[in-house]
Amino acid sequence: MSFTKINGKVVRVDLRQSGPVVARRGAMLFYTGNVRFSPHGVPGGMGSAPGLGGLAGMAGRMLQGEHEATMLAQGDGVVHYGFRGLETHIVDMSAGGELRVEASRLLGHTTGLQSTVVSVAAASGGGGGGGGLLGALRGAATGAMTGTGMFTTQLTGQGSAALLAHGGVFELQVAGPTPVVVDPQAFVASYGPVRTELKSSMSWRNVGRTGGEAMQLECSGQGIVYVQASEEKL
Amino acid sequence: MRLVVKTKRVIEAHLSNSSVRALSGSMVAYEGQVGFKSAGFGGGEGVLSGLRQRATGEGLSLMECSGTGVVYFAHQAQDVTVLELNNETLQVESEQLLALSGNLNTNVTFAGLRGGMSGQGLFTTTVTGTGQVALLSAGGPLIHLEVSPQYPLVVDPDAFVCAKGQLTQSFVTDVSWRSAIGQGSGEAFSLKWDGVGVVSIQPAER
Repeated sequence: MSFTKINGKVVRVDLRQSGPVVARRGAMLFYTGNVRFSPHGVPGGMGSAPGLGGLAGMAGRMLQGEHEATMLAQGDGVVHYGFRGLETHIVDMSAGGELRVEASRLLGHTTGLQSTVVSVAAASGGGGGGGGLLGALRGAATGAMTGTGMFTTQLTGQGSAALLAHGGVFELQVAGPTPVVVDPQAFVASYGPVRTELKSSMSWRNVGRTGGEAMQLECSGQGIVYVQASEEKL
Repeated sequence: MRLVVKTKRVIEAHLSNSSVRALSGSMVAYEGQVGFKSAGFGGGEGVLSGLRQRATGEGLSLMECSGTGVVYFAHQAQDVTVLELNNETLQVESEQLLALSGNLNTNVTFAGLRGGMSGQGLFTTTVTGTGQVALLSAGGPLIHLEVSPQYPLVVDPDAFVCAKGQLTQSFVTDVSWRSAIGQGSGEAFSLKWDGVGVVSIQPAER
């Protein structure tokens, strides 16, 4: 509602309707009207997942780089955003919505959405991934292997967010008993109470020759998963 | 097994206790019970087929996805096209092959002395049988060009994707044409197609 697509790769936002907008630094293409840009704080500063605050959370976040420099656009005017020629996708969220997205795949969002950094492991098993420094480090290790972080940005509230994807996204409904399984490199975001769990099945690993799909992200619960048409990491 | 174009860059394969072969690592998502294992080259597995791949330079690495469910394939945001083969042979550049139904056979045939300089290899991959093939094209959708006896077609080997029909392939080393547009040496090869059929190219050079 706040973001409008101009074409596949450029989004437009009217600040008078949307209020201030947080977007990735450097993603502004052009604007009209009276708009001020200012640096924006670290997402997740206002609170993070239980057991991951403090030093451990900080260490993990730094290891994982679940943070992109952002800027806040305020004022009244129309701003256009685009980033590296990547396709964009707009997700409109109603009150109580929850969107989980890698920071590197988030182009921007309205300030009605609250952004926090959460641990994927803690979200998946109710803390089963192991908290504390050890858990964070273990998560970082798997993250480094697969390219997906242990931490992810979570947006909650009412508003609108713009995602980035190489080759455009398609939506998959997650519901019912059978999970949707996604290539970690093609995973963009999930909407709603979707649990994601990283799986690696040894049986596919026959004599060092996998089908190229050794690591998979299993999504279960209720919601939507956004998948891009490429394995390219951002 | 059925291949369906989901978006212009994604295909979905509907499996019901059947299998599909696809480019290794090209699965982006799946629903249902699907297992993945390396299918080597054309069904062959192990060290020998690996050696053959090295030797021929046709580095087609496939995986077999079998089970029941829907599998989504995409690769590097390239456009996808699904072709139906009806007891036909398709000559295809192995890099542009995304998926093929299980009852199709793949093989590597000697294509002649084209690769010496163009880097596209001396061998070409053929897909034979009845079934569906999904192809990739970088830079936009595939462009299908018709070839008839009086109109042979010359294409850049780096843009060539596939050819279907009664076609023979030969090499043109048209140095004067190259030098006329100021292209230096090193890539003086073009692919010439004679006969009756369709040649498909992509709007980008590899």
